[in-house]
Amino acid sequence: MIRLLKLYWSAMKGCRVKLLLILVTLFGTGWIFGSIVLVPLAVYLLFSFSTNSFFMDEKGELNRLYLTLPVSRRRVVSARYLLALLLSAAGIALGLILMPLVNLVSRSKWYPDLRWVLALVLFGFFLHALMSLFIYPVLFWRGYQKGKIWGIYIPVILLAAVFIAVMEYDILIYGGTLVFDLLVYISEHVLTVLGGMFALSILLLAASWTLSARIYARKEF
Amino acid sequence: MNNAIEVQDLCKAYPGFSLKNVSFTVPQGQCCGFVGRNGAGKSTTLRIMAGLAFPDSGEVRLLGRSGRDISGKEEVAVLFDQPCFQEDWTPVDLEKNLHPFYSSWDSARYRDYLARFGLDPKKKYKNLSRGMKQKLAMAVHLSHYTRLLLLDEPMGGLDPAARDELLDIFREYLVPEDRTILFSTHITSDLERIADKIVYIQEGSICYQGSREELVSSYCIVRGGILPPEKQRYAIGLRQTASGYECLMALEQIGGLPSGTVTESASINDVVVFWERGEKND
Repeated sequence: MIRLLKLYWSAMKGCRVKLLLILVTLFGTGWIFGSIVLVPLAVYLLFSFSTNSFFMDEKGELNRLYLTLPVSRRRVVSARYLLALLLSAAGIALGLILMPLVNLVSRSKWYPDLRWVLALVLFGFFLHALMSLFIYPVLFWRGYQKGKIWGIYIPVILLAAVFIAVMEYDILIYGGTLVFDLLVYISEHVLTVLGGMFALSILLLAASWTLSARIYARKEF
Repeated sequence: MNNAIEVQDLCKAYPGFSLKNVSFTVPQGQCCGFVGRNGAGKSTTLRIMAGLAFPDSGEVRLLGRSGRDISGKEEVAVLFDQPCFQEDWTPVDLEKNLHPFYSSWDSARYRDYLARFGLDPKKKYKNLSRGMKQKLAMAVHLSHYTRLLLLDEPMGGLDPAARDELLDIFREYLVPEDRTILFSTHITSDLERIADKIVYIQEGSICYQGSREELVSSYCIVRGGILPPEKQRYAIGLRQTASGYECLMALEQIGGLPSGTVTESASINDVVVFWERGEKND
């Protein structure tokens, strides 16, 4: 699987310059909105970056290369998920590393303790699992060009719409205290909430991988 | 003699086209030309053999193993009409990315082939000519131990000099007796120089499989003024012209043709063309 991982990473050679853009975007967004957005945003950006592997597959018809190598289709899928997981993990790490730097320049400052750092890490993992479920099976099924609308744009729009809806609901019904109350609840029941989030993330990832493996097992090139 | 390739009753249906009980074998050590016109089913058959598509029914065995056997893929190389490499990869990148998959990879041999084929190790794949790309793919396949080479129209778009070079490389590949090539092409003139066996597919069905010598020695081209009515049923791909007719005919049927009839030996290309014409006339 590691050799496939290296193969995918190498195939994204031409896209790696986007990582610089991701770094700048992260810092800039953190500067404006505060360091609290860094980890989720970094996970989102680096997970999205991982979808470039599908783009490169289509561009170079690389699936014909992968399937003539002595590796199973299941391995091809697993290595792709591992790549996404490693990139999301790098996003979490990057977000945490940038937080103190952003706090220096941003007007909104946040200095989380260990519990909140753990919460951020697990929320990042949950976000990764959620995006994996919505995006990867569609990309395996339809490819990048045909799949990006339903596999990338629609989930992102839906996610943004849900976020806005929750925020509006919070403001209109709870007077803007819902999120705060949620954070207080989480801080009082950290282990339960985080444990539940972790377990749910594992389930989402497993469902996503199973779906993708089944789709790719029957895909013809 | 062991068979390197065994295809048994392969069926695959697509809208508007289907493979119908395709069966053929290729003995080990031979080069088999897989011929047919565009859309006859060559690439579909090859894609199934390479594991890129799935048959509705039937079986494929490569080097004695099921076509789905992953471990067998190490000894099977597939060369498509265009090699599938990332456009920014250089030959150096290719080796770095692919050699971990092959336990028999020989780096020294790879570098030798790059030098022999005149390939710059640092030049990006997208900047290579079509012929150079095919040679690079062959350098990759020759750098690890393979016993079966599946070629899907590898000569498409190549000039005669490049085709000649590539044919030399294929002939060299066949020198060890345990190596086999399945060469799918519609450029039959290439097969005159390399093929031991011919398998001819037409509209998804195998119409002929046998040795190349047997194929070309079984038929001849017949040209004359008027074709006797009793000979018309033996005429394959009959074409009437202002000055007479021409057709393909089995050698055992040419007896009794009127004087003035000209017969000449047929090449693989001639046989295929007349067969195709005959199919259109039917």
